[in-house]
Amino acid sequence: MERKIPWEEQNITKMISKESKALILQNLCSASTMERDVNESTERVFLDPQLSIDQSKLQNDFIVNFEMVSGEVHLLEEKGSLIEKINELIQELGAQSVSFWNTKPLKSLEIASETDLATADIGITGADFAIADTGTLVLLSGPEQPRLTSLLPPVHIAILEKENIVLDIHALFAKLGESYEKNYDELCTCISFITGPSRTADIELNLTLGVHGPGRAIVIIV
Amino acid sequence: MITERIDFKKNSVEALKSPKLKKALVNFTDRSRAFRRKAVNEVSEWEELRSEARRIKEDVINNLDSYLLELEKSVIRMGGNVHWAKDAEEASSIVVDIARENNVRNVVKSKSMATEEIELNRHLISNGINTVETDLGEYIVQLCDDHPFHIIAPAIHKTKEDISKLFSEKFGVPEYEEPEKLTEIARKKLREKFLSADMGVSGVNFAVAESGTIAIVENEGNARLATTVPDIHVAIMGIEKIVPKFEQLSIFLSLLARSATGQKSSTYVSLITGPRREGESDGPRQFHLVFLDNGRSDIARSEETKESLYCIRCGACINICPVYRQVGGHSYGWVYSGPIGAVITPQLNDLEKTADLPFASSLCGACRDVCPVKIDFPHVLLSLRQKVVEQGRKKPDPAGFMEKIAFRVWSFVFSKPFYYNLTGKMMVFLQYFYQRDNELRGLPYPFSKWTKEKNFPAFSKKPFRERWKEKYHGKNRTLLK
Repeated sequence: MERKIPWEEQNITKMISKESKALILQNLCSASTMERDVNESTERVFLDPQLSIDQSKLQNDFIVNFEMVSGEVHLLEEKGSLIEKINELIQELGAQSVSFWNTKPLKSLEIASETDLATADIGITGADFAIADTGTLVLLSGPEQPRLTSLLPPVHIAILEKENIVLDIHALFAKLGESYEKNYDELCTCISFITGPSRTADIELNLTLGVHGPGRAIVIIV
Repeated sequence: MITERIDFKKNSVEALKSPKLKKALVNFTDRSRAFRRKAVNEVSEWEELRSEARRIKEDVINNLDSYLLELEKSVIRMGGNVHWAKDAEEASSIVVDIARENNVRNVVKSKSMATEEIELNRHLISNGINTVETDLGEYIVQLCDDHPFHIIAPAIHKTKEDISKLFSEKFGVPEYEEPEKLTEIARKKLREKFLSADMGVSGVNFAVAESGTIAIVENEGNARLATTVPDIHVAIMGIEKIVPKFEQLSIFLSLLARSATGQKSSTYVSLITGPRREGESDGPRQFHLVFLDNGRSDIARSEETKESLYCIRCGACINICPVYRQVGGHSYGWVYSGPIGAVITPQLNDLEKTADLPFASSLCGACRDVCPVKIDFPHVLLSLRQKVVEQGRKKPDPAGFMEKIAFRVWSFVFSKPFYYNLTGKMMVFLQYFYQRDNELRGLPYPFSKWTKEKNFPAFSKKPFRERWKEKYHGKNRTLLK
């Protein structure tokens, strides 16, 4: 998109900015006394590779931790009943309008008509990963995976496949590194970590849910 | 910028007068400490994480110039813009210019200490751009034209009665007292602001050099909204916020949440890389990252104090600090309070106006023990004190002379049991006129400095050693071994 001709001030700012860049770098140059530390010990020092990871334990840990931060979890034994479960939840919540990601298995969702995100009662998304240790959902953004679906509506429902639960945040970053083959040129624009419903304790330290984001965060594990 | 000298003593005395404040502070610090301790104890490799984080930060600050250039390159590669600001004034004018260039009328802000530091709101508003803080605590603080009280919890000094009155005055709603109700009002008000904003301004918790990603950590969701809904996203970062590798974020994210609020993870962490891409239906169309120096490159050059730049702004040092617990955030006179304020404020501002701050600590070292990047606060504070005295920025404290004499006397008395016993006996005699209910009150100068604040326990007629002898003489000798 062609932008309008910048204001005069903008030109000045750009000049200032260039000058400042030189100034800052010059100042820092004398601080740089060492070669960069290339020792990449951070990779997996925190996870014992001998540790065998039991997937059902990961799932249990995730549930415990997600519920601890006031999240809600529904466990589904078979995938086929997912649509039923979602419809059941929609009814239960008395939702008029729902907005959802256009991804499998949500694509085939035949539920209340999709509406403008800003007025939707429920936002339904997938979850690309989850972290057991902290009870965290990890959502990657993309053309079919808007960021606001998990944010604007007062209720967020996420569909999580249990194979995608990892042990801890270090394992998650290792996994992301793996899937990008350590080349972050193609990194998606936004990775959102979501640990329970939106919360604040800004008024006399009283915990209040749903301040800006959803007040209810529900996960369906399939 | 600081225009007047910060008088820490005067501010503290003022703060100590308020019982309401005292209650809020004790409440808050007690809770934060307990939560943090619990969250930290759950992690068996906590010490390894701290050491690793410190090692990474040492490397970053030692090579900050090359990391900044790498980050700039990455951000531009991902379709973003980078601006370099040498000071607060320049950073603000960069943001104002971006706003003007795009005809921005409404700005939503998420919480950021860097923007507090450069007083961005004042600049935007004076240029006719509506600017709203959206973190609930910051919103409350902005509505009463006040300053944040704590870097993590800006409005802990306000009671719910204060807030309900404030909302009622500003919005014409009844005086609700339930925090849920007040939060709901704020949610509605701010949701409108988000949906009509054309620019979102945020801070940066970490910026990854290799990928151009910025990490923003929060609990409310306001930072997610501010960085997703408006067409333009401007993020402002102190130049020290760099992490070299994407994967290294895992270390800093686990340290930050646990140290700051005692959560295993903050509710929301957003890793943002560049503006919206083709096919995406949301996210900003423009992404600007402002590098703020404002004195930081000078700190990086100081061998003795450069570790001040390792700080990840978790606030653990503030919550543990016995001084902060008494005097609260505003006594420190600027954006950063507690030990990190005492360390950072004098280095980012005129030393003459901030000379009190390095002395606003008992050097107990509790801050060093909880710091997730192991900043040696007492060491840095002592080094700053030395600088203050060397440059003659602080008049020698008259109490300093008395202190010298007091320590001379003390070392003499404690050097021989005979002097010690004798002094004890003398004290019992001398204290006669000041003693009431086994406490000493209203002592003459210089001891009046103590007794003005609190009573001193009276010297016992029968010292401990005599009582011990009476009780255990000849028996229970094993106790003495």
